[in-house]
Order: sequence, then C-alpha cells, then structure tokens
Amino acid sequence: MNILVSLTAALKIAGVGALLSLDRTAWGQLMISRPVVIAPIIGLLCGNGTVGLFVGVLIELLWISDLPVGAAIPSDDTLFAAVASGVITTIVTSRGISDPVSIGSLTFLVFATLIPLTSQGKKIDILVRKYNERILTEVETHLLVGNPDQAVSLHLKGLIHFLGCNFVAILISSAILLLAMPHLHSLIPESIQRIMNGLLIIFPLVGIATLLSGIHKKNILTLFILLALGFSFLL
Amino acid sequence: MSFKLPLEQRIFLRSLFWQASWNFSRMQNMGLAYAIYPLLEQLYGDDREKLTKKVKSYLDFFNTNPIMAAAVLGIHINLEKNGQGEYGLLLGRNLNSLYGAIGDAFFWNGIKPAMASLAVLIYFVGGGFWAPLALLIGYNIIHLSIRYLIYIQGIRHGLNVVNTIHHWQLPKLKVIINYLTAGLLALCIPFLIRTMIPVPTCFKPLSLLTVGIIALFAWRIKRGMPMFKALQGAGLIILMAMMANHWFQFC
Repeated sequence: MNILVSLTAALKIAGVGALLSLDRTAWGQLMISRPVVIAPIIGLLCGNGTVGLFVGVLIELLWISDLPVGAAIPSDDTLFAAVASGVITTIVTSRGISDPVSIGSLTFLVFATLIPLTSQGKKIDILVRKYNERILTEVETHLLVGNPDQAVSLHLKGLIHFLGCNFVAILISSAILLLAMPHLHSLIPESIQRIMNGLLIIFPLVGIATLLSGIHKKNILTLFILLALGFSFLL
Repeated sequence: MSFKLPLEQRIFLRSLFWQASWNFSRMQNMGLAYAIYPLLEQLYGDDREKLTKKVKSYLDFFNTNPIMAAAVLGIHINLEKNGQGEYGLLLGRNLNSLYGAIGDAFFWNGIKPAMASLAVLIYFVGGGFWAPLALLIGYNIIHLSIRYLIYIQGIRHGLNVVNTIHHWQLPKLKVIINYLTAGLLALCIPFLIRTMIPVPTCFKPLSLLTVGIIALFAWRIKRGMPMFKALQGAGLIILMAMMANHWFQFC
C-alpha cells in the first residue's frame, strides 16, 4: 500500500473512530463505542463489514470485563477496536485477501502489535482528563465576571479534547500499521500463518477467563465448566 | 415555528453529556452544573448575581455512576423547585458514593457483560450483524428505561426515589445476571470452537482443552496474573497442543 492510500484510509478510520469513541466517556454511554459495534461500522467503511465484525467480536470478548468502576480508567478497547478493524479490513480489501487463514494470521499479527500499546491508550485518556482541569479555571474566570451562561457551556469543550486526542491517536497508529503490516504479513511463511490463525482463539479464551475471575461468586467457575462441557458434548 | 422541548426533557438530554469534561480534581462537577443549568436559569434568570452564585454552588466535587446520576439530578431538580437547593447539594454528596457503587456493579459488571455475551453468542451461532444490534437494543432498552425512570421519580418524589431504587433490589438482580452471563458464555464455547478451529474430528478433545484453559486462567487471573501473561500462557498451551497433534496425528 502506498503512503497516500494509507493516509487516506487512516484519516477515514480516525474520523469515524474518534467520533464514535466519544460514547465511551464524554457522551451517552450507549455502547456504540463497544468493540462489537464500532469494529463492524469501521469495517463497513473500509470495505468489509464481515471481517470488521469478526475482529470486533474477538476484542469484545478479550475486554468483556474491563470496567470503569469509580474513578478507575480501564484499557481503551475502543481505540484498539477502531485501529485493529480499520487496519485489518483495509489490508484485506486492498489486497483482495479472502483466505480465512490469511485473515486470521493478519488479525493475530495486528492484535499482537497493538496489545502492548493499549497502556498508551489509557495514558491518552488520563492526559485528556488532566487537560480538562483547565476548563475549571476558565469556568471560574467567567463566573467572576458574572457570565454563568458561557461558564456552563465550557463543559462541552471537554468533548473537543476527547475527540482531538482520540483522532490523533487513531490516526498515527492506523497510518503506521497500514504502512508496516502488509509488508510484515507477506514475509510470514504459510506454515507460520496457519499457527498464528490457530492461536487466535487465545483472545476470547483469556477474555472469558478474566470475566469469570472477576465475578465474586464461589461456584460460578464450577457452573461455567459444567455448562460449557455439557453444551459442548450435547450440541 | 420553533419547537422547544419541555424543561425536564431538555435537562435529561443534557445529562447525556454528563462526563464531557471529566477531570481528576472535581470529576463530574461540570456535568451536573451543565445539566441543571436550564432550571437554574428559569428560577434565578432575573437575578444574574444569584444565578452565578447558584452555578458556583454546583461546581463542587461530584462523582457517581453516570447512569445513576440521573436519580441525583432528579432529586436536585425537585429540591431546587421547592427552594431547598442547598439541602440537595449536601445530601447529594452522600448519595453519590452509594449510587456509584450500585450503578457500577449493576450496569458495568452486570448488564454490560451480559449483553456483550449475548451479542457474541448471536455472532457465533451465525447471527452476523444482529450481534451488534442486539447489544445496542438490549442494553439501551434497560439502560435508558432505568435512567429516565429514576430521573422522573427523582423529580416527582425527591428523596423518596431512594426507596424506589432500593425496592428494585439491583444488587440481587446483578447476581442473577452474572449467573446468566456465565451460562451464555458456556453456551458460546461449542460455537466458538466450531468457528475458530473447524476440525470436526477433534471437537470433543478441543472442548476439554478450551474449557481447561479458561478454568486455569480464571483461577490464575483471580490470583493476580496480568492479562498479558495469561495470553502468553494460553498461547503456549495451544501451541503445544498444535505441535502434539502434528507429531502424533490425534485428529
């Protein structure tokens, strides 16, 4: 993929991704920002909604239990889903990949590259929230001069902070991955690609394990094991 | 002809921006001030000085679950309308942590994973794009109904909304939802294996391996293993299983 095509695709992913990611904290919490929703939307935008949905389901399961409890900031699975689905579907569409093993190995490669970077996504979130403190100073200045209308509407400035930071983060990571991944992926021999495709199952398995470990009920794991084995042998 | 929503509805819509300027020092304070402003303007709009003072009083530290915040907002509206705004501010602070705990547990730890599990199950049984739709529709029917109901109850009955929420037994309901989530995820397993490892002859051993990996890492994660290490460990087990199958041709 050439630089111009990569940048255009990255701009598209960043624009829609940043807008939808507002739902995560700044607006609504209507679950539009969940990976299973945002990934197929970006996938459709980049030419393959089905692959986007597949990527979204895997990410959803991996972070199914990450919770914004109290003032805690969880890993940014929305940024992860936007970048991963955008990059994977763009590469799949532009190179005409239809073989499930190639799609699976590409997905594994993108996930393995992005997972260590999720802590950076969290840092961006923290940065925005720290930057939002400046709004408080501006609000107090407006209140001092007796201008409550403008003081209160400054609250919406936080939206721009969230939007801007997410846009830049998605744009940079998508552009880099779109330039690097096609070359990296083409260097991987077919036998290794088959192994990578097989390893893709670890993401949903660890996600389910994390969720079950977070439910503080004594017998929930036993119940899950019995039901899972029962369903597996019956269905 | 211009259309203007009734005040209560306008405040509710503004409350969807509750965390737009979330910050570490006073958290959601601006969200509350922004949402309730149309009422303050209606009540004290003629007196700029009083209006400014009122807005200032709403800018103290505030943090709760953004969905349950609708109840606190409703109570504030009720008390402001009855001329007891200051009382509401004092009381609100005590309610915040209570509703924060209940809301986080019920919505983030109960409804959200349950609806996500349902969506994932729909995907693995071949439901395709119904999966994200199920999450959006299912979650928001529950979320928006509760959010709007506690908001309206707060406006109408003030502090008595506490009794309504208590009557719903959300913590008990959350436990039931958690069991349902575990059931949904268990039901996902056979479909997940068939989708991700399409080797029909190996289905039963793969089921045992999959459930074993989940059980092992659920136990390890509970004891503090980071997710990244769990991914490495699970990857190693799957890799060993693949190598064993390659050498001994189990299936």
